[in-house]
Amino acid sequence: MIYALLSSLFENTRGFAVFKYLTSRALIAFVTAFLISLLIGRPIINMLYRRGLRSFERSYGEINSQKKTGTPMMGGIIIFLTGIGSVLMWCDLTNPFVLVLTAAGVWFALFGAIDDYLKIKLRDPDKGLSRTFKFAVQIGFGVFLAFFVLDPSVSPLPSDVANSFQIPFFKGFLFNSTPFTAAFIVFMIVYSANAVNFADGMDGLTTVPSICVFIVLGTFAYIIGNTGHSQHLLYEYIPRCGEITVFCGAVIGAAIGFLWFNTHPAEVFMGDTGSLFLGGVMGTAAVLIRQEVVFIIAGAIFVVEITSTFVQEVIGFKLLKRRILYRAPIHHHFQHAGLAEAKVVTRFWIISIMTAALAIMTIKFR
Amino acid sequence: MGKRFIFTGGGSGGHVSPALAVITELKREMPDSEILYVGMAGKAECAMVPKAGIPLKLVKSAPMPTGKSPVQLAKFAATLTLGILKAIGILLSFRPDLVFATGGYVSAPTVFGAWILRKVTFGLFKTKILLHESNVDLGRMNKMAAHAADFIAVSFPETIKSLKAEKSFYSGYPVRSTISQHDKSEARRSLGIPEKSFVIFAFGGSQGARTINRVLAESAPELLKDTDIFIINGAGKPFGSSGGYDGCKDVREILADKGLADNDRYLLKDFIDDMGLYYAASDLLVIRAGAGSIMEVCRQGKPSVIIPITNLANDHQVGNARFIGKLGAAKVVYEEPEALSPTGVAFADKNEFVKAVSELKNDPAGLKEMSEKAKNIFPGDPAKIIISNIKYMIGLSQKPEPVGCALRFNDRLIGLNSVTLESFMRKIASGAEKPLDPDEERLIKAKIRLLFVSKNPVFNARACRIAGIAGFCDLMPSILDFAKNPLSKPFAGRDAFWALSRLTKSCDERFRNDIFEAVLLGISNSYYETRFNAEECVPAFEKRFGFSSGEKGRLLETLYKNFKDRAFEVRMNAVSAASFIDRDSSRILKELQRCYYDSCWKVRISVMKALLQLSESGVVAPEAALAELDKILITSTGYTTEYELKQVYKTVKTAISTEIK
Repeated sequence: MIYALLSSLFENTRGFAVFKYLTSRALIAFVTAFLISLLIGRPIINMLYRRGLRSFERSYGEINSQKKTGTPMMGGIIIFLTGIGSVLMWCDLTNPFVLVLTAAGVWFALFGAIDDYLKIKLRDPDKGLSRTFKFAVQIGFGVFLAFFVLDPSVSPLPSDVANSFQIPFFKGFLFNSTPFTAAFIVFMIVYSANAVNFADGMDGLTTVPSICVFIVLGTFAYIIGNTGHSQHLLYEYIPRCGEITVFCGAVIGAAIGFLWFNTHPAEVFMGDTGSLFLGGVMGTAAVLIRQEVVFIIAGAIFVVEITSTFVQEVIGFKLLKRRILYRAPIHHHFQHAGLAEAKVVTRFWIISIMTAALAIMTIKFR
Repeated sequence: MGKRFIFTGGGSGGHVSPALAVITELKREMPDSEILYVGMAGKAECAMVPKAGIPLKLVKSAPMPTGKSPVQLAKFAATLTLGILKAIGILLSFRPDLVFATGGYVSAPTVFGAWILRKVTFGLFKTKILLHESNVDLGRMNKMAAHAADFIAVSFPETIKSLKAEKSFYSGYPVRSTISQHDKSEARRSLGIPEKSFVIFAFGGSQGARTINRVLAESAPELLKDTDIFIINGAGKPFGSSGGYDGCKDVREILADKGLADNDRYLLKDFIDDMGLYYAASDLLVIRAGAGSIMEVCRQGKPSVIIPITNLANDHQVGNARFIGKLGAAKVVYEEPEALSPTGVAFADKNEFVKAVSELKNDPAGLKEMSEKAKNIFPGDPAKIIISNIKYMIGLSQKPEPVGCALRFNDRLIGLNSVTLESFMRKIASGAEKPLDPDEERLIKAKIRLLFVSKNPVFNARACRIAGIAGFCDLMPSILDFAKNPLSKPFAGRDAFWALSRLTKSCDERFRNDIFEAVLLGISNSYYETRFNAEECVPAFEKRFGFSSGEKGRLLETLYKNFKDRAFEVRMNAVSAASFIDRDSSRILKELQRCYYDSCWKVRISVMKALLQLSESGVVAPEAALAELDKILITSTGYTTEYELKQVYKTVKTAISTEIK
């Protein structure tokens, strides 16, 4: 909104140009989101605690001085409000990409919040929204997104890019197929929402890997949305998708602002509100710039988290009737084996920085 | 104009007969009332209701699926919706003043239909809803329908505690008053029973109960040794011509097998038409725990041995039986799960049954007391109580005085599934719950056996854990079975060893070799959790029985191999197990050195504790142990967090709380 205001007022004023550049607006959005977090973080945390929106053990027992029980949950509200707030201020709100990303954010944060609320109020982590319902919510958005991307009458993407499948290290498209792309988009949304959700189990474990992924996605969006850069680096140009960079900047700022409070020992947990919001937006952004494989590489930590859960629950418990890992998701495996939480988290950060670097590297190696 | 009533409920006769009993009473009290019965095609009500001369209308319904399969749920929802729509049609055309439902999913469409009609018409549709629950434990349908109902009548005073007190009243279980009254000696004369006999009357309803028939026939040789005892067995006959269980034939075969065919003190009947006569003649009854049987027997003031259907998913017979048993009016014998019996069907333990019967027989004063207690359990006439409440509900009379129902006890074992049973047993072990009394122990063991024979390894595993927590050493054979064949069911094998590590310290000598064999195999099992739980049995075994040196050698060979296992927990337990049993100081120290720089600090903790153990037991000299201790890597990647604020909170809270006291 500030962007719209400024552009209408100072269209021809010298110095306004700085607000036109995507990079500068992305950085401004980033800083704005972070500063808002610092401002509203503490009051929101206190509000959550007062309202009784706190985490609990399975048996809600006494205060345990060694456990995190009682920490406010649903801190994802902070990420949501600051991220979307900054987007509303600094993004071009007429841009279809921004609108879809905002819709994704609202949709996932809303159902995440309902799920969190039910779980806390019913005092049972199994009594939130049912698994089927959550899948329906995710698939529902996936289907909407597939239509948005693939239907030529609404899609902001060129039709040959929309249904393409691109992988790193290869120029151009691997192949074009509308049915495959539709199914793949739905899969990506369900995957990213769940993967980030599973990763959310330790202080700061979701935040930094998410930030890394958003940096990669923001960079790619900037290149692909720029005629010169995309031509130079041999990417298929998608008009107007550079605005996604500004969106990513805002979300990164929000995530860092949240990390301020969430870092070990945490004062607040993001809950499903935050993890579904981050996961949903992340997946949507990757789909919109048609770089799903890059997203999977950059967020390899999320792949590991969701795969470890699958291996333990389905292959282990359901099929073989035994444990395969000590515990699942994988971060609990390491914790069980004796690694301190802070150590596991930091190592996962390191891994996510490395995978993000790898993803950036794929720009040049083609 | 007469009042109009809809009765609904069914599926089994147990839901229909109380409704019919109330109808009979209602017709006598209010002859001008109009009555309609709503049931479901192909269920018991289709046979019973027209026979009683009541008009019957049919709706569709379905039981709620137990699983979470969305297809089944959708099918259920569709059927129920259709049923409700039809029921709403019936309700609108009949416009009843009251709906009386006896539970069972058959009653769901009518009850919810009436409730929906009331909601959408904002009270213009004024039908009242009255539910009746037959059992101690609320049925699934009634649990949900309780919100929709105006009142709930319960058969057992106990049930009121799980309902809103102002919405529920005790009525008892209405039975049709067709039971004739007879004098005891007269009844015996007409049945040809010697005057001085001790008469045991066992019956399992019109179709007979296999468990009752079998246990009675099996124990007949022992019971009939006592020349006073006379047995009447209402064995039942198959329903219709479709075959099914033929009680009479079954009992006759068993008796012939025991050389008791045509014994003149074993009266075998396929069908009993004048129950009153047999009740009057008998001293002790053997029955199932259906609400109807219990009610009838108690109102006759007869002591009984109750054999409830023991079933994990549906506890209501056990609940009913325990209620009567706790109040001192009956003895309860639990039946064993199916697969354990050699004949492949559920059976009750013969010895336990004979013991229960002879104890009762030899205690005439106790029997008398039991029959007094039985008489007082269900005061008042159920049908009359319900009618007077119905009159109040439709505005014909004042609220009736509640009938005395002071008899209650809290049964902590009813409604426990395997998960809640496990946490319950943990609470007992930690002292948070009172210890089990012998009767509760019998029930829990019956439930554990039921879990043992489940096909699902998760249940087998849980059964092992529960037995381990509770310290039930007599369940050892089943646990050893799982421990010896852990490959097919890894979870069950794992938890069998977990239980063994707890049970070994107090178990019987005769299991020694079996346990050893199991442990020896367990520590080299392919599943890591089985390995480390098996290793945990080693110290317990050493303490209880002690290993021979040959056995030690075989164990240590594997244990030393496990010092470099992939799983850190296996390494941990291998270190502590080996250092517990090895007496060769130079060898154990040399082996332990391999773990001084183990990548997992938890293993190194184990090594340190092992050194302490070795020096305390005198295997290694303290100086040498101290020297070894300093060679261990003590950099650690783990630590325990301690939130000081929460600690202070706790201290302050306890301090203030004690001040209050």
